[in-house]
Amino acid sequence: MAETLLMMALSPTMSQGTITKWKVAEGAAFTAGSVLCEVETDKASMDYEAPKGAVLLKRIVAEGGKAAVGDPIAVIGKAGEDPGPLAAMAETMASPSVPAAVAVAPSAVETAPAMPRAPSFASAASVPVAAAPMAGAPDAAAPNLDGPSAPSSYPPSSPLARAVARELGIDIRKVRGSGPNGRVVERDIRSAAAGGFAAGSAAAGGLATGGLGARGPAVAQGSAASSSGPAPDRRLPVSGKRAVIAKRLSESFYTAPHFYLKRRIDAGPLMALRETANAGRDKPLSLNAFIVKLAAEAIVRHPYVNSTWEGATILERSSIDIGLAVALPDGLITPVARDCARKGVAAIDEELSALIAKAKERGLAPSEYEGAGFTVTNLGSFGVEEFTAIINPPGSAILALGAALKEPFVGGDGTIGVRRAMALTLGCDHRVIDGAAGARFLATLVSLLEEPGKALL
Amino acid sequence: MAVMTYRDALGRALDEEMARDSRVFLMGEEVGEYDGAYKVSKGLLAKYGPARVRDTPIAELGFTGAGVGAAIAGLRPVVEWMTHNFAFLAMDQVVNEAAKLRYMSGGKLSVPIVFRGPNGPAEYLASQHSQSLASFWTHVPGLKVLAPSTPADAYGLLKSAIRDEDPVVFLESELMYAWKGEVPEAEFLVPIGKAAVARPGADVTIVTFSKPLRAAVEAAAALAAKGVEAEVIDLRSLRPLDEAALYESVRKTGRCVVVDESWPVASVGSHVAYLVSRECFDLLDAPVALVSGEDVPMPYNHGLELAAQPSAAKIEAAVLRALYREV
Repeated sequence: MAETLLMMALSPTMSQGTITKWKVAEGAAFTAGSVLCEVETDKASMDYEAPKGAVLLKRIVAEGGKAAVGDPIAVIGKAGEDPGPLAAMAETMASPSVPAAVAVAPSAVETAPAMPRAPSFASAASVPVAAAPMAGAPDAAAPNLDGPSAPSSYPPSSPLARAVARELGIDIRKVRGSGPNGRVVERDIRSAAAGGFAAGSAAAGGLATGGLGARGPAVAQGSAASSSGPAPDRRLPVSGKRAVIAKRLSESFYTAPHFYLKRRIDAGPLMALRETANAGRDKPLSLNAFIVKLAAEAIVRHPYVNSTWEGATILERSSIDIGLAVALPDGLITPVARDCARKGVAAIDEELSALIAKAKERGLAPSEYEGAGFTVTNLGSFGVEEFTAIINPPGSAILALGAALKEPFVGGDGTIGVRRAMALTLGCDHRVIDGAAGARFLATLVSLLEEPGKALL
Repeated sequence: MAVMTYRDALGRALDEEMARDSRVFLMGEEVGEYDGAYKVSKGLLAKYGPARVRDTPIAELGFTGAGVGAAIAGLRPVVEWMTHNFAFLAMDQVVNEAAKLRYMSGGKLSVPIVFRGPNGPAEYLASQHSQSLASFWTHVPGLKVLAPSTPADAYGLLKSAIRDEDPVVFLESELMYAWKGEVPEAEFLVPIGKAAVARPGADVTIVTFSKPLRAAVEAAAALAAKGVEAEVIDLRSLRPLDEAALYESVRKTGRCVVVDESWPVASVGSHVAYLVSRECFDLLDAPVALVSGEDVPMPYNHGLELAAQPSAAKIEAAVLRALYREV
């Protein structure tokens, strides 16, 4: 039976998206997981993956068109089926040609999604009945105009999914359903709980006018109270990204037994190398790119560092994918430079620069920040001399770098000199990496950082 | 532990019960001189004589009624129908007499009788001889309905049926008679009203009975290769029904596929699906599925005949749909 395909929340804060490109032609068949279209959200350009295999009967939203989360974007079904009734209904619903809907837009558009997800809506026979209330869009939208509270629009869900969501404290409205007609089923809740949208399998977020609406009262409260005494405390909503950071790092810190190894290096040779390499370059290579490259070389010599604890097994990765922690105003993100053993410093620098620029502008796709086997984090630019970091899963080690500062040192011949020193702190997951193993890796890394030429050997 | 056929397991149960209790006797078409149309009663005439192994005319209503009368009078008849397809003729005696006399006599009468024979489609038998009467019998209060699918259960349940104080309809199958399985050598009974877990699993519950059990177990093996552990419940007893076993399994798996070779409308399978939907509603992740025979008279064309029945492939597909996986 033909059914409508709805716009889904591809990021935690997405409320609508623009279809920049359709990848499947009308009349063409597609399989589950194949990319149907590219969607630009508030943060990123994401692939919309088919929740199931079918034939694309009709596109409802054309390239360049926008759709709110929950709005129908296409009609899918079996080859030869007539998309007519569903498509017509969907267009009536989403189209601003209904004057009343225009008057109350955009909230009317956002309240609409609850309707098409009801299974009966997919049946052509029920169209006239189901469509009738939509013609009265102002009624549906009216409560939404009363205040800033977000519309509570529940997707269809299985009873088991609802029970598991209650048990795990997951807001089912923020889970993308993978069942028929967008039904949220148990696996959607479990994957949302296991990693939220970051796991790529269940987009969080959704129908929220949430950010704005929820902040509203706090701000108002603050200004009202300013005339009498100190401002009251503010309780801010947790963004999807902040929730993911909290969850992943808590999980890492509380389940991976961390230990830390510290070394100080003479950063002089590395600084000199960077200076030489950058002579004549329009855009200088970052120090981090050198460190990522040399860390990759050290991993080549100690591959056990590039591993993941899996309980019954340990995954040792063949590709050396290194994440670099980057601070953004809304929180930390870790773009990943892939296969660093096979790339030179310039290629790594280019890859990281592009990812960081994209992260700042539009946000990264999960495939651009997930799966680092090793992570580098550097607070040197903040003047931090040394620090310990929490391991970034699924990696088992993280390298924390402090600032390169001048310090006195005793040379081999007993004379006192001055050098640029940098503190290295290697955090390791003891389940995978023992103390001596970590120390051996760190010794190699120190030796490569102090004498980068050894990396050529 | 001896390996024996379903046929021989039934024969052993009849032999032991006839030896144990002189009130037990067998009657039906060809059960004596011919040793049974499907050889279930082989050797019994020679051993117990024509008074206790009685060949009857081709008159189902007549000899079924004679059996009911004998039961009321104090004997323990086992009435063999050559197939349940012929039992439509005897339905009045089963439904209106055997099933109701205890109730209508205010408990003064009891009808300890077993009606048994092959049920359900076999092969190449066309519409009139290829149907399952499981739903017809199970519909009736006052009857017990048993449908064993292994030789051990056939043996243990037939003995329990013969010893029961009320009428029991016993469903066998032409194709199952040759199935082999281990049957303990020491005497045992299988209690009426208890389902069996034919295969444990945690991902999905497949509920079935009688001949489709094999297809369900085959489907479960194919699913295991895809990482799905299906629990297969063999009902064995359709009335009374072991509801607790169903709910216990579905509470664990959250998904249920019912397999019944009968037609889909108002069947044992649709009733089981209703019960599971009602009792496990809050724990279901997908609608309860029913894999049944197609809603048509059985075609004679062999390709269509097979296509009209539940198969391992159909069960596997239904399970994958219940798991929201690609079929």
